[in-house]
Amino acid sequence: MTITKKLLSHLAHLSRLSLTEDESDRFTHDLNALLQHFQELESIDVSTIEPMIGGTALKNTMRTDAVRLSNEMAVAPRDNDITRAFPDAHDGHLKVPTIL
Amino acid sequence: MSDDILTIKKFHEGLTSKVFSAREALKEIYNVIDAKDADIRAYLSTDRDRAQTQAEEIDRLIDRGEKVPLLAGVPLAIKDNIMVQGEPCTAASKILAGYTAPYDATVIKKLRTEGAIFVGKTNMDEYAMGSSTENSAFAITKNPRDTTKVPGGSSGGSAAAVAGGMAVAALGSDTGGSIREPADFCGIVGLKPTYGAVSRYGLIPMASSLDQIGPLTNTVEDAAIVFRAIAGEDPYDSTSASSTYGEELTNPNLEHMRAMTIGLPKEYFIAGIDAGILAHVERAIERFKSLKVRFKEISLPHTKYALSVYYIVMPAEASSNLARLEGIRYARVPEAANALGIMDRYVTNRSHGFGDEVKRRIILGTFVLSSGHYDAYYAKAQKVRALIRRDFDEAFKDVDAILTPVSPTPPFNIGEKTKDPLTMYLSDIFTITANLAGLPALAMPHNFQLIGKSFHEADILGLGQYFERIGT
Repeated sequence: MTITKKLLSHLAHLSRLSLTEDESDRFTHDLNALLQHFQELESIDVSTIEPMIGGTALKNTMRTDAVRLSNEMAVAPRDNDITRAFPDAHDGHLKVPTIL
Repeated sequence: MSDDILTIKKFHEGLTSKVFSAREALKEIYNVIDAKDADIRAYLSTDRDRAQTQAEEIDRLIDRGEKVPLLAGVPLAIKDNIMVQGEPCTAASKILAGYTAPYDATVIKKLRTEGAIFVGKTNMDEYAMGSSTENSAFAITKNPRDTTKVPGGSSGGSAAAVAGGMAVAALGSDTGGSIREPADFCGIVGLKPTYGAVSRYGLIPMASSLDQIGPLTNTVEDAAIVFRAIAGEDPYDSTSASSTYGEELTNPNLEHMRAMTIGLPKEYFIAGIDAGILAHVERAIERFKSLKVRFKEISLPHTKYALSVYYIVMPAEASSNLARLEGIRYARVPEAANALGIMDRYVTNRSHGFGDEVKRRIILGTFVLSSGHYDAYYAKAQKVRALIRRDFDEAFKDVDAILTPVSPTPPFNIGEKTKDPLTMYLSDIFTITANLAGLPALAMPHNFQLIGKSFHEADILGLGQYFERIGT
């Protein structure tokens, strides 16, 4: 497997990134070096192995499924830390830039 | 800098016997920061007024003769990917510049209850991606022991703050060695807890099946104190476990430690390790033997695949976690002010907001998860990860803990490895296995780490505390 400039450009698009010529050159080189390193995995027989999906085999810790005010939302939406953290707000609502 | 305030126990004794007040101790910490940090750059932000208010509260309690917790008044440094309500939280990324944390991470809430004081937020590699703290969008942190060298990473600011006397202890996060490698480079102690032992609620995620929050401290006892304060189940983190820890963390039993066997995996003692590091590790083994701890050579045969597995699993999860940074809900980069349409806005924010290493890992992660390549890379890596975990399960049938070097090299020069990311990745070669297997690991100031069984932090912290007590 080799990463071509064309594939890199597709991956950049999927990642919502635009790369400069210099970045494309360097990333193509770095990613191909890594893929070459990853080849060592090919020889391992894992046909009977169950994948380790998370970092733990223990069961999930869950909250009770009940309606309640969470965190700062207990305060009026116009004046709480969550809405204050928005980059732009109007009347306590997230103000979104023009996207169309 | 007074030695009295450099460890948590001594701090507590000094504070409660009124040798100094919490305000005086805090002032001394800020004096050190003022004297050193323009050069070291451990901190990205400090909030002196708020810290002062916290210290005044503690002093009032003490003046009233009330009993205060062990961590009361203790000045702590917090890595900038952990949320402290009302303080900046940027993960050292331009894409989060100006973002203020709306709530406390669970670890912060717990430490606040204990009366700890938050001195400031520390520098790191952007999004915790790196081994030198050179990938920060805002500053390069220097190693306080030798300012021509890197402090390690990604929790390099936290390590430099503690090693430089600019905090008594610190929190960092460890995805592939990001607490242990900087602790090692700065000559302090770092603990990566078992996966699930500490809540990650309020930690900006990098790779969710690997990330853990843990302490960086001057002594093993301090690491045990901070760990005990932050550990435990949290309904806000579904991966947190209902483990219970107690007195055994801070008050280990010598006879129990003496009955232990430590494994030495032959795969970690390979050609290419710096001779000085190997000599330190060998001396450490001799010191343990003087405690009558037994050693046994073991094998962890899939170790050699760990780097490949890590650099598939970690970028995959990171690329997914970082998709939320689109320049709409969080900070917006100035370059995107005139973006046209949603796609242009996303792309401009992300292309200008993320640094080199973050982009590299997002693209790699997108590749290993993409249709047609998923099975060959991501699915395969998860299975080999299971084999790495199985190696440890087998080994722990015979031994109680495993001792290995932390890093194959001593701290390198600033700028030495930035041109070649693959060489930088090799810094993690001995630390990533504990993350892949979800195990606790304690980095000690003599270039070695102790890896323990899941939720057996008490074993490695106990061994570490006895190691400390017998001295050099």
